[in-house]
Amino acid sequence: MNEFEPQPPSTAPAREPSQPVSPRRQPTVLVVEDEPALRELVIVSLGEDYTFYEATDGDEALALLRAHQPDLLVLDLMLPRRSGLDVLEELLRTDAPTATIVLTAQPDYAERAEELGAERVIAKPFLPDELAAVARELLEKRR
Amino acid sequence: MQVTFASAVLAAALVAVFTFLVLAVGNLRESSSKARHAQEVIALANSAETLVIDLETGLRGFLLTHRPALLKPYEDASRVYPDRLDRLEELVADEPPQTRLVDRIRDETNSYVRDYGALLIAFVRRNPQVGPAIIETERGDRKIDRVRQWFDTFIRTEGQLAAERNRSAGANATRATALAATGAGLALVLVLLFAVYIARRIVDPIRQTAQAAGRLTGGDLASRVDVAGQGEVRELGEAFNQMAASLQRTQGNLEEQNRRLRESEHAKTELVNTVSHELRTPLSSILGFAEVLLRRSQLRDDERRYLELIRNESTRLATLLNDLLDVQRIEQGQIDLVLQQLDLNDLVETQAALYSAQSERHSVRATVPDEPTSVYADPGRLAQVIGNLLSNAIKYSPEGGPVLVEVEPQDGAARVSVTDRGLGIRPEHQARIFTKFFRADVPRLGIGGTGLGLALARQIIAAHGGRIGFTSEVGQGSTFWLEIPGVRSEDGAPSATGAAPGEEADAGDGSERRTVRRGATASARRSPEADAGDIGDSA
Repeated sequence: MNEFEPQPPSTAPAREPSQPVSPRRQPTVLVVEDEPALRELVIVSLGEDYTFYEATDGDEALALLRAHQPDLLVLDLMLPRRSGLDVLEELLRTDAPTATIVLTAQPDYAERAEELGAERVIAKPFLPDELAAVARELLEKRR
Repeated sequence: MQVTFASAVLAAALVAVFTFLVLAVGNLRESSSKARHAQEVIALANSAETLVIDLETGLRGFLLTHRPALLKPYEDASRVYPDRLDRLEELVADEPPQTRLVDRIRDETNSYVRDYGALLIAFVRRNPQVGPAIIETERGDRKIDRVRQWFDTFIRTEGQLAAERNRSAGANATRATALAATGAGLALVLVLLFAVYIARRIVDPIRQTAQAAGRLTGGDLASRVDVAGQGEVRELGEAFNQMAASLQRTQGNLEEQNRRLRESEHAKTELVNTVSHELRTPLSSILGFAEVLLRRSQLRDDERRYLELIRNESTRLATLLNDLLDVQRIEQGQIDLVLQQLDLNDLVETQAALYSAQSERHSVRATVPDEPTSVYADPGRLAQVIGNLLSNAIKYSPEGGPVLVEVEPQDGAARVSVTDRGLGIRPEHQARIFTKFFRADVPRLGIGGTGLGLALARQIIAAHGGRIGFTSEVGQGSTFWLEIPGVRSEDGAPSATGAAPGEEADAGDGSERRTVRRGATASARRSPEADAGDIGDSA
């Protein structure tokens, strides 16, 4: 439950300087969040090294997942129409290789999200550096 | 009341029947005795007639022979017959025609004796030589004939009467038997009718009611009884139906209440979830973008400072929110503890190091035993509590100073105490230290905080089966302590006995989840009073 407490001053390293553009394409990230401010925050937190897709509800999220098969999914659980957990379930069924970070204000669902295949669950409010670090870590593992 | 009436009717009927029977039997006896009486009369009449004949025979003999010896029957009879006739008359005293006959017989016989016999006898005695043929007997004969006819009539009449009475006696006997049989049959029928009546009016309703009660017990609250009849039986039926209806209503009310309670609980949970989400979302933006800005290198000093303020304050808000929701969820029984054996020394040292970095003016030092101190606890939650105590120790010694945290193994448990040389707690505030939002007069002193940390700590420690308390003196500082059980006990509650602190329990037996229930809260509530009693113990 330590994730749900604001940590004492972060000792995470500062964001690494951008790498020169490699022939390999940028990793793609799908950000699913119905609050526009938070969507922007996620994108800003993760930085310039990614290509972003955005969705505001579960149905849109699934459509984009199917269309683009992103490398990383950053998913909020409280969504209109279809919930984040439903999206996770669908994703699990399709067995896509998408790494998933769940961002949620409700710790109750953390366990369920992990059962449904989320690699990490980060509580809101989150530290941008932390999100960025986790994203890098998951994508490194994928490679 | 109806039953009483029916019983009275039955009793009256039976009495009537038996009365008739008694009367019939009485009748029979009377007839029999009357029959016997008639026989008696006839016998007496015959004997009286014999006397009259004796009179005639005696007289005639004497008249023929002039011999006095032959007069003896006459003399004997004439002495006896008056009484006999009297008796005969007595016997037929209730039959006037018969008594009249007897009178005539008596008169005529008297006349025979007096006016005829006596004269003739006197004559013959005076004139012994007169031959018998001369004497005229016709008058006498006629008298006797008449008397004998009257006797015939008398006897015949009496005979008829006797026959009549015999027949009547026979008829009475038959009637009495018939009446008895009828009476018995009637009594039987009446009793049967009565039984049927009782069965239908009383036993059936009672059985119906018992069956309805059985169905009621089985859960069918709609079970009712047909109300019929009057009086107590009706009352029973109506009372039962009312009771069943009342039960049904009560159950309905209870189910309704239950439903509302569940809804209310559900609503509370929903509220907590919603609040959680709604407050954390904007907070995420505030904190997040402040952090993003702080990443940038081209910030003026004042810009950096302001951004740090924004970040720190929103962090504080997030902490408050977490604590608040924590407390709420513990009270709702929604927090799970993940219990396992862990080394308290490590946990305490980690927390001490963490908080040591938070303040330059404070020196946080941990003293732990050389041997590992094994306790059975939820690592995250225990860290939360110890961290909270350390945070308080730092906050409430604003001048700075030492903060000492010490681990003491005990028998079956371990004790952690956090001591500061800070403000201390005033005696009048000490009883409420563990209550939600209580912060004494600390806000006045400009010290931040939510007032929830200790409330949460108390609930968490109580759920571990441990204790928490403090001693404090104004101006001297405070020592907060907590005790955690060493091992898990068989029934799932951490026990006070068990592995000595040095023993390594199987880490492999898996951890135990325990939900912080209301009970934990309740027992935790007792501890402030108990713990307040610790004041005065040496720290």
